[in-house]
Amino acid sequence: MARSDIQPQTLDTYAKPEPATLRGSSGFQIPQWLVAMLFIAPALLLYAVYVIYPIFQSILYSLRDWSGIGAGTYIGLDNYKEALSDGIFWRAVRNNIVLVIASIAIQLPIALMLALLLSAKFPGWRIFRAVFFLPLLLSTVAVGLVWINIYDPVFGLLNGILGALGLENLQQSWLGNESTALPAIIAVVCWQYIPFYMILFIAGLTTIPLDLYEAAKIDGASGWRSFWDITLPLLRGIIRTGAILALIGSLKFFDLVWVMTGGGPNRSTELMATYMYEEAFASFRMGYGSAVATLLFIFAFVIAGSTLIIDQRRSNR
Amino acid sequence: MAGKDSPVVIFAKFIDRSDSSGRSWDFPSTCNIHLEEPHDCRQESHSSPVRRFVPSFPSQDASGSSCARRSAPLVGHTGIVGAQDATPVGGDQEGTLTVWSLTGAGLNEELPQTAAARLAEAYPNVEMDLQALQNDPFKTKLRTSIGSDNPPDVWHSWGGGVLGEYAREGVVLDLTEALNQDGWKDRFIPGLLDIMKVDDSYYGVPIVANTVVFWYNTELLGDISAPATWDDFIQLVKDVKADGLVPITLANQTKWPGAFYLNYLVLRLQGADYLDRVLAGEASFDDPAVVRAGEMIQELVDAGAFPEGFNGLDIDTGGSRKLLYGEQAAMELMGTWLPGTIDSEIDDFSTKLSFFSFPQVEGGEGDPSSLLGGVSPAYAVSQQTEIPEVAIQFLREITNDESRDLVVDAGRLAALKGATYDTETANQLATALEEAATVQLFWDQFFPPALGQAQLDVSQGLLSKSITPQEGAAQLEEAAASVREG
Repeated sequence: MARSDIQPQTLDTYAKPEPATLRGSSGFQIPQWLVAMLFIAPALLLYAVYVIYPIFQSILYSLRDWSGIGAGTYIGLDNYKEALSDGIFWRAVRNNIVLVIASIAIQLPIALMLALLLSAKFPGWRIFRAVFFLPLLLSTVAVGLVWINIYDPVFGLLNGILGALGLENLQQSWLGNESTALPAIIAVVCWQYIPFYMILFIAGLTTIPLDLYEAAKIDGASGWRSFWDITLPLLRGIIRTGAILALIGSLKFFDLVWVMTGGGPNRSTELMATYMYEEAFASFRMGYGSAVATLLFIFAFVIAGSTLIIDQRRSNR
Repeated sequence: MAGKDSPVVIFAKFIDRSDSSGRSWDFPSTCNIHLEEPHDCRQESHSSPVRRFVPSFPSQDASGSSCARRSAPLVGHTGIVGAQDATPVGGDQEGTLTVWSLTGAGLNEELPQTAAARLAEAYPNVEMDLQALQNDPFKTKLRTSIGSDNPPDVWHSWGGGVLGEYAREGVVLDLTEALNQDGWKDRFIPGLLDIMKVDDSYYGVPIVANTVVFWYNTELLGDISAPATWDDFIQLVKDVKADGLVPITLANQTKWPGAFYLNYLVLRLQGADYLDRVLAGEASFDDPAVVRAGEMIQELVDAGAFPEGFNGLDIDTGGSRKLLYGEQAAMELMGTWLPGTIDSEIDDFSTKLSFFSFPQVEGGEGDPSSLLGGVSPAYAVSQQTEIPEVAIQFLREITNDESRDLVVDAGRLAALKGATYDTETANQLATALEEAATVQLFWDQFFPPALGQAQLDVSQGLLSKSITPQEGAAQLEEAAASVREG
């Protein structure tokens, strides 16, 4: 419809709506929860269709012996029985736990340290902040490929540096040895995700009022003392958030491992998510893959949920 | 259909995106047929000013003008119709023909593109929707689309166990009748067409044949005579090792390159029909010969045949070939696609390569001329396609003389008869393939997926010596048993 088609009085109608129509003529007011629901509904609908419903659907699949085509056969809890007695599954669980611990124990402290350093506003801090932030901006696949080459046993940078330093006995096939593959990947995970927590902490640090530090200084507190008694307690909420994010992220971690080792060699870097993917989409055991997915969901749900509850109780005290 | 969107499936979609990511490093490229004015360079073949469907593809290949590449098949079309006289003019057919192929320099995409271009001539009212996907995302996406009753009309296949599964589920179209018309079936090398055979019916057609041989750098090894027996071969490995070289390069992160050894040794030791007997339950993997194959693999490892950390090297990023290029490694057990891959990475290096067949094993029951191999690309048609006539015609186009010549020009082996090769290497390979007593399909394609994956794990375990040959044989039998039950 061309603009000229619109009659002037129509425009007026739109421009000056009757205020009464908004509330209804009888003065009836729409309850607030209904308004809230209306706003939430579109997102909730998408969430329900693409997240909630598939979780239950996948639980149903996990009760079948199913190759992805046809109907499959109902086999009850056999997939779960198999998973719980499957050595590779438990190896994957163990690797996930190692990754969780390493993520929280390595990433958070280093991130906090970097955040404190970069909040000091020394000359060039902006450049450093950008440099430290860079790894997070890179695509995981690109990161994986770069590190595959750094770890290359013959042509790799790491072995090259070790050789140049005269440390030939430390040279390794980093991704090819079962004992070094997982630590090598964890190092890359840390390298990539520390900047995320660093930014989180920097943001947290800016919320702490500077007067507190001033007052502490006047009272004669050392820098260390200010850190323990002011910074750390006031960052508690942020650190807690960071830890929970690291926990959940590590439990469902997939991409870097898939790019760098595909879970190998000999399953030494297998995680629950990579094992699920392999069983479902390489071996095409969709039922079993769904059972692994469901177990992963239960683990993550229970661990994250109980962490939240424990934390909630503590802060209430 | 939302009902199929389990987290696993959603996850697959994620992988499909980001992991055209993982394994692949580029997104699935789609090429559609657009309505567009004929280009200058096409006008000699299409002088009509009428707007028409002309296929257009993103230029994947830097070499050669896209005009020349596009016009060539179109110009050649008249010749094909005359020569084979089997191309119906299908102006009445309407719809969209969706074709899923693999990405890859050269043939993987060129074959379907040129075939679709010719087909578009004969079926002006059919839209060609060609999609090229990376290997792993392709397998995932295809299975998901079939599982949700929404498969493409035509797709890339490798034949073997997966095609067999699709055939028994009634997902793929039986092509036997079509193959028997106009002598179509006689165009194929029989042993290779049989890879597409399931229970006496054909469900696909092969175009390119692959076989696996030992490639070696003639500049490093000189004019060696092919080791006839395993003992000769081990001696060669030891000699090369003594010269300070890595005898055989191997990048086994993805497990299939190392599985060639297990597959070949069992073929040499047990003969051609062993795997069929294993599947039928008439033979077992838990067999002294399979244990011996494991021992021979570990004998190679102990002789220092492979590079440091080979289980962590990624073949897709050149983990094994880097050692060839650096002249640090002398040999590689790899498919006939290797020279083409090398050509795309480094100029003139492939001319240094020669090959010999996998050696015979003393006392083995297998025919020493037998080869391990497969077909790719091959194509299958969906049972659900609304335009089966067009789909079958697409397969005829992609297996005609022009397609065969494309295969030959790319330095690959055609699964079609009557090819003439212009290099000594290609001629020798083609002869070996023709004279092979059997072509054993790669195990991971021959078996149903679960067993195919299990043998990959066993192979990697044997190569890294994390399992004993006895354990390897037992694990294979365990996986085979669960396939027999299922």
